[in-house]
Amino acid sequence: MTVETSGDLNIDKRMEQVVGPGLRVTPVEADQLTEEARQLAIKIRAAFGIPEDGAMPVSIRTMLIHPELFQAQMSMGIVLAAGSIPARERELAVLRNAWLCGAAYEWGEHVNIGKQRCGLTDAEIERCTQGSQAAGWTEHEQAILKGVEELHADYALSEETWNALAKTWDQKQLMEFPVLVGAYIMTALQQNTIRMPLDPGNPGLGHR
Amino acid sequence: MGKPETGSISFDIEARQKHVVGDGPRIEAVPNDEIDAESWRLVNAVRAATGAGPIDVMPEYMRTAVKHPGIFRCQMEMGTVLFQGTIPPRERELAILRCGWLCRAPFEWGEHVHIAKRYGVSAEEVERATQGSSAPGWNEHDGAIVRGVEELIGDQALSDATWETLAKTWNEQQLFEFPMMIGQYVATAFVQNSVRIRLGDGNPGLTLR
Repeated sequence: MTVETSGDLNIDKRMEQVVGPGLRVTPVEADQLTEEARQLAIKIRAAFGIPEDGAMPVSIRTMLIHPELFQAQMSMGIVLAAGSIPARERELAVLRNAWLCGAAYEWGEHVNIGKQRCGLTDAEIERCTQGSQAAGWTEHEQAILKGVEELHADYALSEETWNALAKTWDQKQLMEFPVLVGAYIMTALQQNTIRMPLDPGNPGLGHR
Repeated sequence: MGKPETGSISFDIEARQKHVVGDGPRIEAVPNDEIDAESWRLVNAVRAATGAGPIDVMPEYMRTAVKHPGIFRCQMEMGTVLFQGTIPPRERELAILRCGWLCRAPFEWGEHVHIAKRYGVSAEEVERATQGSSAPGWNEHDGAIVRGVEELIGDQALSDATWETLAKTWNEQQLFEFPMMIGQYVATAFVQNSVRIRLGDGNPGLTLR
């Protein structure tokens, strides 16, 4: 297994591939939303603390192409956001995952979440682009990043990384970790495939 | 990123299964008689969606997942949504097979060989799923599905060529569902490989055809 730990992503090329050409699917028009879909969107925005002021974002109108999937995806997101893994550690994992996926929307979104809600520093954000082998991580943080890298490269966690994580995390957290990374891979695949447009305040892969 | 695997991947099945199944799970399952009613309801709902009947002995991997009730509920609900989804079952199973193979996920692979055959995937197609989109014999649409899985797993994106080929047959809802479905099965492989879920009766893992 070759675990990818370096930070040599060609940002411009990737952005052109996964954002540039524009949405591949057609967002549902606000006046074509069923009442059920509208209520679902309101509920989801409330759960994530997104203020309900005016127009529904194009990202949500796009996800409402498939309301059942949207509901299931958001339910998992809500459970993970309130999960057993501490928020700061969760964001480190999500950021490393987004970087390895070259996921413009997800990366930029979680740079904002990481900094605004979890106190991640500029240096830590930069280190997420460099990976587990960058200097400056604690032993536990290094194991988290290594875990993400191993899941990407080998679809499994090594003995060494599992044991390192188990020094700090309990069984529930250990179970939550691969689910967390998987959920954010799902989101990255979704956003990269449909070419989700970036929201204001999210410049994508260049965001720090 | 950037490296879809379109052919046979060569790896030692025994060594892989030793790594991701090994001597048994890293996390112990809840005994069958201690499973709560709501968990039974969720499991039998997802089984119904796959065309299988209800059970009274819950598989070990589910009895492990119930230790995290919120996640268990969401996994079962997502599974049900996808099984009742817009992509036809046979095509879905073809995609999941290629996904399970590329993830070298013994439990997922074996389970879905059984499910795939229930939905009309032939033994020959099961074998071809291990050989990838570059193997001869796929029709254009099926080949694009397999290629799509390879691109999603290898590059976390879909090429224009593959998207356009799939769009000849699939509508926007199906195209939208596809990457999320693959994401779900990658996530499932992650969990089962990392927890080292034991292979059950009838599932010898990656050798199954």
